[in-house]
Amino acid sequence: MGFAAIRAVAGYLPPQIERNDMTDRAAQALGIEERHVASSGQAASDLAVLAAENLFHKYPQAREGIDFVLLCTQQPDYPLPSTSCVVVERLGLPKSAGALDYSLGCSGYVYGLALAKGLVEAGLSRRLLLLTSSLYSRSISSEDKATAPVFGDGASATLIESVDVEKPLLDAFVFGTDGKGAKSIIQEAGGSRLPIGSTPLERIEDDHGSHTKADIFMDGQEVMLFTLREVPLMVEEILKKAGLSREELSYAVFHQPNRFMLDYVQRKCKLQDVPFFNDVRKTGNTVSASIPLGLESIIGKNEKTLSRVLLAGFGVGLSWAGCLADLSRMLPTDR
Amino acid sequence: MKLLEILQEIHPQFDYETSQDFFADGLIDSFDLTRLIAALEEEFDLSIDGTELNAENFKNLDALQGLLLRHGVK
Repeated sequence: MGFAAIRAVAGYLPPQIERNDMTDRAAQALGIEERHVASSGQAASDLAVLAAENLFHKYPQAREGIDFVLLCTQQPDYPLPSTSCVVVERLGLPKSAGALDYSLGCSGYVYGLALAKGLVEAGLSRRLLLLTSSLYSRSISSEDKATAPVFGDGASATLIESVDVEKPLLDAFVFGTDGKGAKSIIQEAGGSRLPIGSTPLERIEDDHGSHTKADIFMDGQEVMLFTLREVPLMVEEILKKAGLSREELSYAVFHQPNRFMLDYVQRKCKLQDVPFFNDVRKTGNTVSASIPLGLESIIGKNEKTLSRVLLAGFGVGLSWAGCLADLSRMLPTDR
Repeated sequence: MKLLEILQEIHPQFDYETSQDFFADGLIDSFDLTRLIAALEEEFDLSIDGTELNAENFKNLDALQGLLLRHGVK
């Protein structure tokens, strides 16, 4: 029987770097030394295409036969058409390929795996390219001293296809949504609720510094409380669904908001004895790209043992999603 | 009072006794909040979870004392 499997993962980080002031107390707690920032000419499709090209370079067998593109971004090239349509053309994929954008932030990668699993296991796609592309830096005021040091830009590409095995390789999905927290992370202006130009955008001065409604705003306290409240419950539910104990996990790769938060989330989830990816030093919070960038970091080093990897995404929405991934069916790499 | 000591370990220079809203008064940021939760859990051997992780429970001394009381800490 065929089940959807992650076959290849690669990331892309734009070359331009912004460094945080590591003498600052908050920057030290974040654990973010530097962030990659897209240049003014780069759009979501540019980052996504470069991530896909990195994937094809690293896994030469991945290029052929892709029949579906899923693209997660909250900074699309245009309000319309969908960025995934642009990407299909730029990657030279056939016109028979399906293409779909979806808008999610830090939970977006796990949602993408769920959508991909559905399409592949329903027989609607044989070989699917899941792309995430995040350019939060584009919409954050440089004068917002709380939010600007947190986010970096980045993209990822993941190849998912059916593999002939006896049990699911992507499993135990758990989803959650709390729309009451919609304003905890929000970019109020620029959509149909408050179009740019519909009203003057006054500067808002607060304990973050200075920003407008066209900038991304994040209420750090609310996001921290939401994370500590929901993520441990999600982890319990994934383990229960999978029938696994913590000791049986090969790795845990969570969304990477910052080092401080992850340290405590790991503790609240009772995962201190599980290999736990926590490394934002050179990337910052790359939103929907953070989990696949983490996977790319651990795959080369641990491939044989990565059969039970717990994934957890959580953030803007408020939205969260997690699952268990078996990464033991990766394609051979060329480097 | 142990609770006040915990808060003052985070920021010795702030007056937590008179503030009615630590967040609005800028006495606690998101990092401090996590440190506070961790310190309460460790000091009083309890686990603060689920709906208790609400800003209202951490906004001032009265709210924190109420939270501890619900955990049987007097």
